[in-house]
Amino acid sequence: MVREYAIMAEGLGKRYPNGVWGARNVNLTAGYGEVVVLLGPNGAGKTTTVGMLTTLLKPSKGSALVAGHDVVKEYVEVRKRVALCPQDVSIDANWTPLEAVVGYLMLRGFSRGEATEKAKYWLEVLGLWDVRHRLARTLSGGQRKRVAVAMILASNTPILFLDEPSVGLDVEGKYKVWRALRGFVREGRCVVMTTHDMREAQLVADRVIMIHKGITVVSGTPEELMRAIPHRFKVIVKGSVDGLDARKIVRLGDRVVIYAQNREEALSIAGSVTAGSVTIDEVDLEDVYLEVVSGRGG
Amino acid sequence: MRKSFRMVWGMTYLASRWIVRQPIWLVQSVAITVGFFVLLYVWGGRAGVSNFVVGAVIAGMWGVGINLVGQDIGWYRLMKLYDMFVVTEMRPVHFILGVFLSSMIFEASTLAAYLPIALAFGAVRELVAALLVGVAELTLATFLGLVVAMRVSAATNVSSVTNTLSSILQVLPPVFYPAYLLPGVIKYAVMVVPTAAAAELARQLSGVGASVPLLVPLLSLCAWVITAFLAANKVVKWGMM
Repeated sequence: MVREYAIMAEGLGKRYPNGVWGARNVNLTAGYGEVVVLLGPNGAGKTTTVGMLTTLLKPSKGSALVAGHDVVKEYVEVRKRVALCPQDVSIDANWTPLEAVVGYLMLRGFSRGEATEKAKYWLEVLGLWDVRHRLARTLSGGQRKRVAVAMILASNTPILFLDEPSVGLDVEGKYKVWRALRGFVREGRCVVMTTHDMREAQLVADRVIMIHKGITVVSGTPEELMRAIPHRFKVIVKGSVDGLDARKIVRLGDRVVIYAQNREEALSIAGSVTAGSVTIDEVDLEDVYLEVVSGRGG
Repeated sequence: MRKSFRMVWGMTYLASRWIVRQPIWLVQSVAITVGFFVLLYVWGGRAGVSNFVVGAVIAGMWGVGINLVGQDIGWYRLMKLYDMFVVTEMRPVHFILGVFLSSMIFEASTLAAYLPIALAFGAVRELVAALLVGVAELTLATFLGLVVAMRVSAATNVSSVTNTLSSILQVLPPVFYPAYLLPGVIKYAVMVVPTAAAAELARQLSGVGASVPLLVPLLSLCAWVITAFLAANKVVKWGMM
């Protein structure tokens, strides 16, 4: 249940010193009690947006309130209320998971005792308690990433930002992180994360915001976004198909994806395929993404 | 106040892990200190020990400030931990002080090596004077280390710059030897080098001898501290870039 906005950004843009706009016009809201996923192709402006909302970057235009505080004028207040897991973050090879979380919490002002207690809880949640005394250099890449996630989850801030948190995680690791994030927002907190993984967005997000070329192009729940495109189903044909030029199709070498407006149409298309195998699926966020990006020259 | 202390301690705790895990660095640091002592004692006897004590303190403070603090910050930038730290309640002063205190483990280990030497050879005045001047030296070196760590765009290159600056300014100028050994005007010119100015000041304060008027190294060191502070203040960015 969303109570109030944790984040409100309007017309947010960032121009770097080299003249390149990292983000041009980002509009977004995020509420307490929800996971908001920023989706977009490489260079879309997702990381720049996170940078502005976490006060790492100063916006060149627009405005944003995070936890009710202006990200430029009240950045000190914002920093007290947010925690960031940056893209490609790597914990020090000489830290153990326990030391990483305890040290991070101490530098956020927790006492050693409180920090240790919280570290124990979150390392257990993320499946790292058994390796708490092992040096990071002996952990897998996925385990190290989970340590970074544990650090910010344990910080107890009402808003978390995670920039591509699941990159480098195996399936089990991803599910541990997703479970932890969903549990976190159930306590009335807010999570904003970026990802390229449509399945991750579909599974974890309460709302998805697609950014393309630095501009927010569409936002809504995954279900709303999927209803917004004109097709409900897709037929995946392994083999070549002729005579479908009038339809929305995507050719993938020796495979073809044919979009259909309803199940009957999908079955009809499948029935007309004489060679190769056929699969019928409902459309998902990936199809929304392709529709949005291709519709804007992506 | 208590929260500030925890922030500094948290940073010190994290930044000291690598030293705790790799104590062999301390052995290296102590071995170099003892090596310089032997070298100077063999060639210079008691006067050599005086120059060793001054040189060891000044060079050590310089190395800790410019090398370790700069390198640590360079590493944190590289690993993106710097971004993680910025997005907290921590202020730059907590961060820098935390990293700085962790680096003091090195200074403490070398102190453990040269303190007994100073006591055994009656060079306590030199030690006290060098430690006093060393505080200013350390401050300025830390500021310069910060400047390098923030200005070098490729974080992987920070160590190569700070290592070079550290080594050259420890060994080449009159730090382990008195400036009066240099000919004519050179002993004045060399006072623009911060480590040389600091060592000269320490020698004069401890009564070992003077190579140039006291005001020369004093002004040089003050100018360096102010310049380094202003430069650090300008380039150190704590988010909001």
